[in-house]
Amino acid sequence: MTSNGNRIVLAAGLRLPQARAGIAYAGEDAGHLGASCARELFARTGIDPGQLSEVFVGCVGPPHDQANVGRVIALRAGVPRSVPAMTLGRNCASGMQAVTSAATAIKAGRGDLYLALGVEVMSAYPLIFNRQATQFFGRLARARSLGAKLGAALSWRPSMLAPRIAITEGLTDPTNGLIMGRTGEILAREFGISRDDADHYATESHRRAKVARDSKRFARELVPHLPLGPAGKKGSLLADDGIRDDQSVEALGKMRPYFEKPDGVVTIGNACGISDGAAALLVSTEARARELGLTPLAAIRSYAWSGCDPARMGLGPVYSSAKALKDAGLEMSDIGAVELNEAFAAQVLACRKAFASEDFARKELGRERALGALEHSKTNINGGAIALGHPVGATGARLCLTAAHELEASDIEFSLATLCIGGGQGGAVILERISA
Amino acid sequence: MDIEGLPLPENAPEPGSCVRMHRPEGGLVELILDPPHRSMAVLDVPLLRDFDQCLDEIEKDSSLRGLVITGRDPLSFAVGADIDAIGGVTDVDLARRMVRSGQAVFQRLHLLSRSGGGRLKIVAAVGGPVPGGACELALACDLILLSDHDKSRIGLPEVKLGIYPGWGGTQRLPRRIGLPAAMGAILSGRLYAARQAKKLGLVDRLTPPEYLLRIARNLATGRERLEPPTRGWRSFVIDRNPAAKALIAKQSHKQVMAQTKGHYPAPLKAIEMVIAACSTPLETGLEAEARHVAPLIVNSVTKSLVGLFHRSEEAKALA
Repeated sequence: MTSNGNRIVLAAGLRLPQARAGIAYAGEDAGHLGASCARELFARTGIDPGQLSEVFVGCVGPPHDQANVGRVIALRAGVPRSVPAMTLGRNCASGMQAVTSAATAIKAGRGDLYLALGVEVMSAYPLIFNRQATQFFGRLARARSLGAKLGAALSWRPSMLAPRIAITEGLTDPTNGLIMGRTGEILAREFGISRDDADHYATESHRRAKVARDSKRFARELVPHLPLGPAGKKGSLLADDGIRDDQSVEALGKMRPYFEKPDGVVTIGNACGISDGAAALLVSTEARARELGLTPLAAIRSYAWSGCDPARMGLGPVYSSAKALKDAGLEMSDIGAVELNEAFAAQVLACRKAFASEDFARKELGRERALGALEHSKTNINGGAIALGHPVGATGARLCLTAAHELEASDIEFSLATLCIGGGQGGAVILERISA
Repeated sequence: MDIEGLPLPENAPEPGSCVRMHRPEGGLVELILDPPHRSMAVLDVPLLRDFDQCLDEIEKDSSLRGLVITGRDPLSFAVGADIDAIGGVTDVDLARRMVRSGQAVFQRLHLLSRSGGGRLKIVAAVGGPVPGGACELALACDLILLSDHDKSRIGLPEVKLGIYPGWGGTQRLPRRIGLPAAMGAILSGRLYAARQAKKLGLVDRLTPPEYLLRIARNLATGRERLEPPTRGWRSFVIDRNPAAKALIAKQSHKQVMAQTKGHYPAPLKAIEMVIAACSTPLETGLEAEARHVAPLIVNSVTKSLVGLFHRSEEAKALA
């Protein structure tokens, strides 16, 4: 993608370690977590935030008291009041949406320097009073006389204590009533993915993530989270805490399926974790980035969004990758590394089969030949969401960041960041190496 | 099995072609109901004869430990007895023989099973519609595994044809799920969806259709342990307790009379059979079941209801 002949690039990027929900960032909110990531990015790049054209923040579940959490993050990160900010939502791809929206805005000539950030604090997803309870409080508030108040109070029922759980309802597709894990089960059955395959895949994800952490591969993209306050205060985090160093296939094999008992394939162990995290990227043009003294990480070659069957939302990456490859004029064989979000091990394995299937390509993608092999040795080289966690709003930006760094780390020309999206969509971004 | 004189369908295939035998692994055998002359498997005379022949072979093979009985695919097993034959027979003795020969095949299967004192763990792996005779075949096995799918329907709808389950259904269902539940199922003729059937205890386990065979093999080989259901103390307190039986019989009778005004003899006979089931030895119960169902088969009520059934199926096909 270019703007006036100038390539659109990821000028710089940074992410916080991803934490399992309820652990390190349990006391955070999206506004603070996102701001701390953005602040660090400004400090490292020396960019004056006043030069930003706009701030785009992807977040699936903004705190109810920060409806436009993007603006909150911008102001808290020291972006001047004059710079506008918005929050974008496309479920699990919200962070990627921030990146592609910035790229589109640059291409359209609206600006040339954007902060694209993804953030999610799933720890903070609330329990909500159910409808009966809400109506009860309404009656109580409306009651004027003592008698009316007493009458309203007497209408209290124990069932009103049963809360609605935002995270479960948020992860359930309202159009078909399927919770995300069940869409993974549908793919496992359709593509014949066994429990054993899924557990092996998950174990490998942990192993790769451990290597990436220990070899300092992640140090390229990660800033430790060290909250202010006395030493040893809860909430400091040096690396992604979901990586299990001693994960074995046997241990995973003992877990019970979570969504479809007793024969399902998806367990807590071979699915992505519920997590908190944030990732920030500066999106600009190549010329502008160099002017600001930055060495861009990668150029955005193409991106694509696509829709598919909500009950098979896990196949989203296949559709969107096909589109993005076509736009880029590339084939899978040109791609040196793929970051394909690991919602469920079974879902990744189903995608792999669909990528390689001629039948699928003909029926679903309108292509004569199969899309191409999604080689295990090139896919999620540094582990994926099964080990690192999946803070829904942040993941899209994290995938772009990791895929951008992988160009140099693996010494390759192109990388692909793609993910499936609840509700039946896929997103894909193809990144291109910039020679210095 | 002696099929002399029993009604055969016109296009009956040659012997041995209706049931396929498959040995997926050592010690395990699968019987697949796959009659070439039917789009949906029907437990007609040729199929029962072939099934019986397979049992000959299985009986001889002492290396076998498990048996899986299944259909062509996870969502089609069999649609029950041969309704045309039921509609066509007019002789009471012939009707009784037809019933007895079916019973004999199922009883033979039962005696091979663990719950019947045999050496085989027999698993019925069924799905899609499993009505009447198909359900009775499954009841003769140790375990029933049902495809967890919207198309799965299992039950004993015989009363809707003016008869009652005559292949051991009135005897085996109460032993499996208890007297009150069995009475309800048989008198209503209701076909249960997968979840309801599991809740009722009519089936032992549900699994997605894609996994049906794999799980069935695991159960039959003992890789997955699942014991056949037992009624335990409830058998004494309810199923075999004369006071409880009398109460259930009275209530059921009242209910049937209120619904049928006495025009249909089958449900009333069914009550007798089900009430006695748990307190009678199985072989005696089966003999009585056959003896009492034969007159119902030749009855004009049944002929009319079979005709009605055919018409409504035709109407459904048009819709």
